[in-house]
Parts: sequence; C-alpha cells; structure tokens
Amino acid sequence: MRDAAVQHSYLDDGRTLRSWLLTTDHKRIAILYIVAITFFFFAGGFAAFLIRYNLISPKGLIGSAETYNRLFSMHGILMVWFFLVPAVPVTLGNFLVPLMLGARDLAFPRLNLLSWYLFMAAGVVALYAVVGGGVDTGWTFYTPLTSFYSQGHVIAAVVAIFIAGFSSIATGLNFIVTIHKLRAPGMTWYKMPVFLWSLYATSVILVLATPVLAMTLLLLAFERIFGIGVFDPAIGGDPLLFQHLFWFYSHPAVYVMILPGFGVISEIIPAFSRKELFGYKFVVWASIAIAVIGFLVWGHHMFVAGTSLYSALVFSLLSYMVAAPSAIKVFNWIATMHKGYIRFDAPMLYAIGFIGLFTTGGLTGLFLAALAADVHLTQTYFVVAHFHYVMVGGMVSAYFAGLHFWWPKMTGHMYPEMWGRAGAIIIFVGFNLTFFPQFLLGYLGMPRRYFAYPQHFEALNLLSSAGALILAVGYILPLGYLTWSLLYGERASANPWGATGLEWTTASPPPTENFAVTPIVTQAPYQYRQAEAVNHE
Amino acid sequence: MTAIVLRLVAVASLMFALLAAEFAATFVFSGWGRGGVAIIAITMAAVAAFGFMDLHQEDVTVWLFAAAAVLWLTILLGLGSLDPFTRSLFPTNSMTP
Amino acid sequence: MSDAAAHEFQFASAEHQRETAISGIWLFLATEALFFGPIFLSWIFARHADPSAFDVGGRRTDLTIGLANTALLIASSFAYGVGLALIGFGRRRGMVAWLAIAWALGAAFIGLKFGVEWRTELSEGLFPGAHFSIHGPARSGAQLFFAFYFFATALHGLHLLIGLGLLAWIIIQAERFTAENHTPVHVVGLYWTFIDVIWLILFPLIYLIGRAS
Ligand code: HEM
Ligand SMILES: [Cu+2]
Repeated sequence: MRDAAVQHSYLDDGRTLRSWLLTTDHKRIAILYIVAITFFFFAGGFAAFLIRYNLISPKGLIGSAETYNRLFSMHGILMVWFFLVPAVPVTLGNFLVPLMLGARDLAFPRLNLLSWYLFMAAGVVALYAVVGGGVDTGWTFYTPLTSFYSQGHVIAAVVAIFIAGFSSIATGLNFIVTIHKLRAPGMTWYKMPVFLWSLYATSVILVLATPVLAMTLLLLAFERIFGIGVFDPAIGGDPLLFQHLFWFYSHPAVYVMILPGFGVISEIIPAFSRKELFGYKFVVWASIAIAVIGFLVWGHHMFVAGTSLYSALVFSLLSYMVAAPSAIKVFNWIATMHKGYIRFDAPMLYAIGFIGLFTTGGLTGLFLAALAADVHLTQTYFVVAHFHYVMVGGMVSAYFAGLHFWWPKMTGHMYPEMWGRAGAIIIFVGFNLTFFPQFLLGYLGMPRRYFAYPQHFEALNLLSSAGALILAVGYILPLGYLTWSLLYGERASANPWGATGLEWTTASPPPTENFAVTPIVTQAPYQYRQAEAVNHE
Repeated sequence: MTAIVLRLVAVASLMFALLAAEFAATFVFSGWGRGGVAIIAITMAAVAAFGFMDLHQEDVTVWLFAAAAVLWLTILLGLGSLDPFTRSLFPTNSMTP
Repeated sequence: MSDAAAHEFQFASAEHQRETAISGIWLFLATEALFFGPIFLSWIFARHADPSAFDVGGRRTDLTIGLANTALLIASSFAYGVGLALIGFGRRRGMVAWLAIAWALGAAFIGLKFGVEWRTELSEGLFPGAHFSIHGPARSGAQLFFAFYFFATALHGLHLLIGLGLLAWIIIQAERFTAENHTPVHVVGLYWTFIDVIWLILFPLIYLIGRAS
C-alpha cells in the first residue's frame, strides 16, 4: 500500500461507474458533489430566471400569483440547501481538507460517502416536491401558514431538507474531527491555512445548528400531519417559537454560506499578491468569533414579528457585534494586497469582486440590524438585495474563485485564462446590474414576494431583469469552458500559481494516497517571498 | 476489574439517591420546588456523563465537544426564552377556547 | 480485522484510530444534544403560555411507570458499563451477558412506555385534537402538554430503538472484540448512556414539574 513507485492519479484509480459510486476517496467524493451541486445551481437558477421574467411587467408575465409563490420558494429552497450551504465545504473542502493537512483522507471516509448519498436522496425528494407542484411557503416555512393553510408538498420539502441536514452534519463532523486528529507532523493549529480555519468554523455551525433545524422541521411535520402542535396558537402554542428555532439555525447558516468563501479568498489574495496574509491570527480568530457570535443574533429576523421589545433591543445590539469580525477580514485582505505584486488572473478577479460585493452586502446588513431602519426596510427588496450581495455576490463569487484556483489541482488541466477573466467580469457587471436596483426598489418601498407591483417601479425592475440575463450568461460560460478544459486544457504542473500550501506540493491531479511520504511541516503558511515583488518593481 | 465495578456501583447508587431526592423535592420539601428538581436533573445528567461515560478520562478534544454542546444549548434555551419571558401579551376577545 | 494492530490507512496507529473514533462519537452526541434542544425550548414556551393549565396535563401522566422506566435506564447504563469493563479485561462471555441485561432493560423501557403507558393514554383520549378528553379552562394548556409529551417521548423512544439495534449488533459481533480492540463496544456504550441522559432531563419535565409546587 505504501509503495511510492506506484503513483496513480486518483482519477485513474478505477474508471468504472462503480468505482466512482462506491469510492471513499475524499477527492472523488468532491467530484461527485461538484456534479450534484452544479445541477442544483442551474435548477435553482432556472427558477430565478422565471422570477425575473415575471417581474419585467408590473402585472406579472406569468399570470398567476400562485405559480410565482411556488417559483420563489423553489428557488430559495434549492439555492440555500442544495447549493449555498454545501457548495464550498463539500466540493473544495472535501478535496482540500486532507491535502492541506497533509493527511491521506478524512477521518471517516465511509461517512463522507454516506453524506453524498444522503444529499442525493434529499435532492430526489426535493425534486419530487417540485415536480409534484412545489410549495408556496417561501424558504422560511413560517407557521401557521405551513402547518395549516399551505396547499403544497410541504411534507416532502421538509423531509428533503431534513435529510440534507444530516448530510451537512456528517460533513461538518468529519471536518472537525479530521482537523483535530489528522494534522500532519508539525502542522500546528497556527500553521494551518486560513481555509481550514474557515471550514472549521463553518463545521461548528453545521454541527451545532443543523440539528436544531432538523428537530424544528419534525415539529412542523407533526403539526401539519396531526393538525395540532406546539406552534398552534389555537391551544396556546406560539408561532414565534417556530421563527426562533428556524432563525437559530438560519442566521448561523448564513455564515455557513459565507465563511468558506472567506477561506477561499484568504488563500487567493496572498497567492496573487505574492505576499504573506496580513494579520493571520486576526483572520483566524475572526472566523471563530463569527461562528460563535453568529448564534447570538437570530432575533434580528423577527423585529416586526411581535417579539418583546427588550429581546429585540438585545438582538439588535448583538447584531452589531457580529459585523466586527467580518470587517476585520476585509481590512486584512486589503492590507495584504497593499504594495503587493498583484496578478489579475481569473481567481483574483473573482476575489476582488468578492471583496466589493461582500462589503456592500455586509454594510447594508447593518442598516437592517438597526431596529428603527428595519421597521421600514423589512420585507422589502432592500432585504433581498442585502442577502443576494452576500450570498451571490459573496459566496457564489468565492466558489467560482476557488473552483478556478484549484481547478488545475483537481483535474490536472488549466482552464483557458482569457475566458476565465471574461467570465469573472461579466458576472460582476451582471450581478450589480441585477441587484443594485433592488436596493433602490426596497428603499422606495417595493415589498418582496409579490408577483405584481405598481407601475412606477417598472424601470428599475426592467434593469434588474436585464442584469439577470447578463448574469446568466456569466454563469453558463464557465460551465462551457471548464468542461472544455477537461478534454483540451493545457496540462497543469504541480504548482501552476506558485502558491504555498501542502496541496501544491503533490502532483496535479494528486495520487490516491495524496502524498507518497507523509509531509512534515516546518513553515508558517503564506511564505511568499517579498523578494519576488521587489524584482518586478 | 473489581475497582471499576465498585465504582460503577457507586455511580448507580448515587443516581438512585438523586432520583429519590428529585421525588423529595417534588412531594416532600415544597420549599425546594421546581428549581430543586431542575438542579437535581442537571446534576444527574452530569453524573451520568462523568460516571458512566467516563468523560474525565478523555482528552481535551472530547472535553471541547462536550462543553460546546452545553454552551450552545444554553444559548438556545437562554436567548430563546428571553422573548416569551419579557413579552407583554394583550388579551383579545377571540381567545375563547 | 481481528489483528490488534490493524488500522485504516489514514491513521498512524490503531490507538490513533481509536482516539479518533471516540472523539467522533462525542461530537455526534453534541449534535444529538442540540437535536433535542427544540424539544426543551418548546417545553419552556408551552408551559410559560399558561403554567397551571400545562401542569394539569402533566399530572395526568403515569408517575409509577415514569419512575420504573427511569430506574430501568439507570440500571441499563450500569449494566453496559460492567460489560464494557469486562471486555477491557478480555472477558468476552461476561461482556455478552451484561450487554444482554442492558438490552433487556432497554427493551423493558420500550415495552412499558409504548405498550402500556401510551396505550392507556391513547385510550383515555389524551392525544391532542378534537377528541381530547380534558375539558374546561385547562383544555388548551393540557393539549399543549400532550402535544409536547407525545412528540418528545416518540423521539426519545426512536433513539432507544436505534440503540437496541446497535446493542444487538455488538452482541452478535462479540467474537470480534478483544481486550485491546473493542472500540465499537465503547462507542455504542456512549450512545446508549446518552439516551439515558436525555431521559433524565425529559423525566422531570414530563412527570415531576407539574406535580411540584
Ligand atoms: C455583516 C453582518 C450581517 C448583518 C448585521 C445582517 C443583518 C441582517 C438583518 C437584520 C436581516 C433581516 C432583515 C429583515 O428581514 O428585515 C438580514 C436578512 C438576511 N441576511 Fe443578513 N446580515 C449580515 C450578513 C449576512 C450574510 C453574510 C449573509 C449570507 C451569506 C446574510 C444573509 C441574509 C439573508 C438570507 C437574509 C434574509 C432572510 C429572509 O428573510 O429570507 N446576511 N440580515
Ligand atoms: Cu441574520
């Protein structure tokens, strides 16, 4: 087994379908996951496309409010649980955690495969719910609408999310235990790349928040099936309890949808600035702080729901605290770029886009966290724009950044650079055109989740729908040229970017065992030589 | 061997004693009341964790995981009950059963 | 498999593998604790809404069975502990005997809870809904109690059933385990006692608080 002479690339280690479907190799599972979440990304994207299509006209082009409700619910559910939450951890994370640690695999490889099957099972149930007519509850499933009045396939949707949740828990558990127990000799905590720290923080959330969502969905299913339950106001139950439990999960979950992105960006910025990451320990502890403080702020989603004023105040104040660690990171990235020798390859373009878009999204989050401002802005397009800036502008950009950055490592092929840059720019432009108008719409008072709107909002909506078209082009582009590169892309060397990190010390694509000899770590991460920059000045 | 079994016997006896105390708090010493019951129940959970699950023999990692569970449950139950306990309810006339 | 030094290729040694498995199960139990979190929070919300009516429901539970079941689970955790200690000294037959006792105690819990207690309660019309048999001003609060009760005990019972399955699996596989190599026995034992811990919290919430003053 340890024979260094036989060095198969993990891609050559079995070529049958069976060898893929029964694999426990973390790298192959990552590829399985990429295929799956790409499908869901485009399925959710298709729903988004129809939403924007409908909103071209003030009267709504789809013609049915009911259909519209089902579309945005399906969009939210697919995008949140079948793309954004898993996106980076299960693909880049699965691939890179053992490689970055200098380990041969995750601690529990079979559990890892199981998590993929759970994810697929969840996906099938979700698609069943969609094909069967969908749900009209929104991704938030608020009771009592969901438990008593909604006509859709609520139970199927809830079951899908329940199963997907266990897939998340399995992944999170695997990462945490692996990071604790499988670090290579010399890989102390402070020698770990920030990407691992971010995934650790993400996993903490996955493992401690997801079970709460799972049980909440069971309580909801119980209530829907038996027509009575703990959220039922008719017997003194409290529908707000549902919202508390839902947001106890879902606010931390929004950090699941951004922390891995922070990790990706923290790898890319130093690599393309040829500089050590500025303030490593601050970045690291900011991730952990986000994971913890993120659990203390969920009430800011319920300011106008009828919670007590006292608790609203507490949650509003705590929400301000959670912005600090995110801001620290933004400053550190910018300081890293300062006086660096910056190369504008596609991953870096995405990363720079990320910083701008995330900052916009994060700052508008602060508007919303202010109790008084939120009373005006809540349930408007301002909120929609806020979270799309962080989730799409932030996380999806980060996912693409990471995908391009590690593509040579995963596939052994380079993607075509010019196409990559073009894609990054088109996405940035399309994104802003789509979502910036929504800030204005929200500020002017256009409510979210309605299929029609007053005439005077038409121009901005048209702009937004036009932007969505550009954005769609930007997302379809990589699907084309990345697939192309698998067959025709230039062969990648072990370290095409000249980046630091253990994953770049092994072959591209890596052998099944990752490293011929278990590496011994002596250096801190990100030791990009300053000299290199001086030469080019 | 016998040492371990004796220890387990001691733990089990302690558990039964605490169970008895719980009953006493409920039915005999009304001064202890519900607070007493709650404290005893949490103590019993802790005794089980240390006595039966041997938490004290495990390494820091395990301690960290166990502590995280307790801390996060505290957040959920603490911040979660902040709202109902400080809410002012306004009676409506539709509240007939 | 039976080779004491055997370990999977991602670990440095068998001890490394054991340690990792133990921390894995503890982290899993942490997620389980949070899994039960919403049940505890619903209890807080539900009781807070109308404490005296909620307690009316609580007093309709069968305290004798509740007490017996608590004792069964404590005894069962004890029995499992003895079994685990025995295999640590290589005494496989002893382990099987004590684990069988632990299993039987757990099964007795299931029998009492669902075969007797639930049966009676269902026949007395205590399941919330239109046919709920408690009337008067406490009707709503008592229904809320029983919604909590049936949900919480079902979930706990489900965990116990899974535990019984795992325990049976350990007993069937007993041949595999040696003094040095019995991580699965340890892992299942942690899960088994954890179910006990959850019950130790549920028990007062269901049976005692409503009766205390
Ligand atoms: C910088 C810290 C952040 C603060 C202070 C913040 C604050 C808020 C507030 C107060 C709301 C509620 C608005 C309302 O419904 O009236 C909100 C909604 C939302 N935020 Fe953020 N946010 C932050 C970062 C993020 C991040 C990083 C993400 C995701 C990656 C995110 C995703 C969301 C989502 C999805 C919603 C809408 C949920 C819904 O009602 O459907 N937020 N945010
Ligand atoms: Cu939030």
